[in-house]
Amino acid sequence: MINKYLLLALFIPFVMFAQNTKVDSIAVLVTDRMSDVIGDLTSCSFKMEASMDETGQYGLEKRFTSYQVYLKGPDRLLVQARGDKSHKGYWYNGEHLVYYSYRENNYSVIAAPDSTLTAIEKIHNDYGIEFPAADFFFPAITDDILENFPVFVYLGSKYINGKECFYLMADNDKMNFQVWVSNDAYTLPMKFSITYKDREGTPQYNATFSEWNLNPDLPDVLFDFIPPPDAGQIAILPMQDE
Amino acid sequence: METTNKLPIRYLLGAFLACVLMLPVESIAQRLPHRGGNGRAAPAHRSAPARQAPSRQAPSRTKQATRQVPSRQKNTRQAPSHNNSRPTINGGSRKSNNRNSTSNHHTTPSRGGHNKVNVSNNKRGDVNINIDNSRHTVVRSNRVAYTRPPYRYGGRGFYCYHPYYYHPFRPFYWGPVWHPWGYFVASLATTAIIISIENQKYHYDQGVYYVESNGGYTVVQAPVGATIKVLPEGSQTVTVNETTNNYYYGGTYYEKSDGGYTVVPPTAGTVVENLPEGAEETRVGDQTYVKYGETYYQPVQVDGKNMYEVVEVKQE
Repeated sequence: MINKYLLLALFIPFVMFAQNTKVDSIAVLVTDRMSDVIGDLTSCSFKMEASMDETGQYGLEKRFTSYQVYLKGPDRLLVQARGDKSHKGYWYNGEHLVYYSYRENNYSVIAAPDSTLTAIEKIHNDYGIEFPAADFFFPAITDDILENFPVFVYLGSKYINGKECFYLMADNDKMNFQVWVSNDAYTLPMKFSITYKDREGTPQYNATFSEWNLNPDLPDVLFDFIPPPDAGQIAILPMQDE
Repeated sequence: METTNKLPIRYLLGAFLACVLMLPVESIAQRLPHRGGNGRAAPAHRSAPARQAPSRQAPSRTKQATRQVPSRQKNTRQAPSHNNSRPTINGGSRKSNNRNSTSNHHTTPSRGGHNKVNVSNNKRGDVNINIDNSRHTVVRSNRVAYTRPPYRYGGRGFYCYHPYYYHPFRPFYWGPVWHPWGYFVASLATTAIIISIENQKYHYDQGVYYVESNGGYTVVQAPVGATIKVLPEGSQTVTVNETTNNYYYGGTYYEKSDGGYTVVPPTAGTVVENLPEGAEETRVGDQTYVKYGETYYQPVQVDGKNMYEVVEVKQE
């Protein structure tokens, strides 16, 4: 009888494993370090090449977009995006965000909160406007990952564009998130990939960073939009309520 | 003798059990077992507006035990540069001392944006500058099936038969007798007739509908159901589908009826060349539509000519 209880007790820890929860300390440490470095920047710029699977007439189609991003202080953001479907820019100066379409030569002005992160979140919620790599600029990225993904693991050392990187993966029922973080003094994100497991065809979003420039001296005027000649201001439709 | 022989075995099993129970914690550093173990309220740390980062100074960060990084002394990182006078791009990284709490974290659906973590279901509208989104698009469906996927935005699908082809909107004027909505005149021509629809009296003259207001007459949207005997000069025939035509003038659609021509709502897929003053370009996601009243038009190109197609907007 005693042996039965002992056997039952021996299985308890393995039942806990069956919940499929695993968090590697290295993954947490690397993400924390990356977040620390980004959180300590007063300005930065980088480039990002992204691809997104979108539902087309015959199946998922790859859409590519190149981004150039400038951030300064808590309330300045400039994004230039050129892709298959659009060429656009976002100027944020702490008061307004301007969405300008280079192809259509028109722009929309949106009143925005006074901090970059709040503005990114609100404008994404209200207008569905995506900001490249926004994940990495939210100060609690590690907490967010730990909160939303039962699995967060370190999968070894990999090379991205010749640079040695920590290869991390977070996984839950709906999403798989992979990120490659440079194994150097700065521990910056070099590449990330998101797979949407709950969407038809399990589309992916992939992005690769390059030309990180830390604490550059960026003039304020860079973040003020000046309408080009003949550019027209147009209204912008908010997204619906859920 | 048997009892004395069993005791060492029990002790050994007990010792083995203790080792096994400790094994997972030490070997894979699971963080979930720590949830709820620390009574400190995470929100107090997470909500810190400035980079005072009390969480980063916390030597008692419980995960250190399992992460086996004893050298990580957060209190050694109290660098003077972490003050408010040095504006960082995101206020500095934040980590909760207790990563157990779920109450203050962003929710999983917030990652709906493909490169964004923190998205919640905020209400829209308070930053909307000039769009009344409360009205729904009134368009008659076309029985012809769509061959291309819709453009999706905000939980809606914008269905069209032609591909999106942007060209700048220029309002069109149908001559001196045509007037846009809201236009006020003190008096009407003697050719004006009265049309009553649902207890509302309209005055109609050469393709324009008026209602009495402020001692004069104001141009309004053509009332659906109104019937006129003669189409206004300058009306165009537009194709709705293989078997149906409409007649188009000044942003209004007519259908042949027993009594003449009856005002009908626009039908999805109808392509027109011109839209009147009063229509306005509206950015919908990454595309620009022209909205006239409650109808969205997609800029398209047909046989090399810039046109507008009536969009069917469906909730999805």
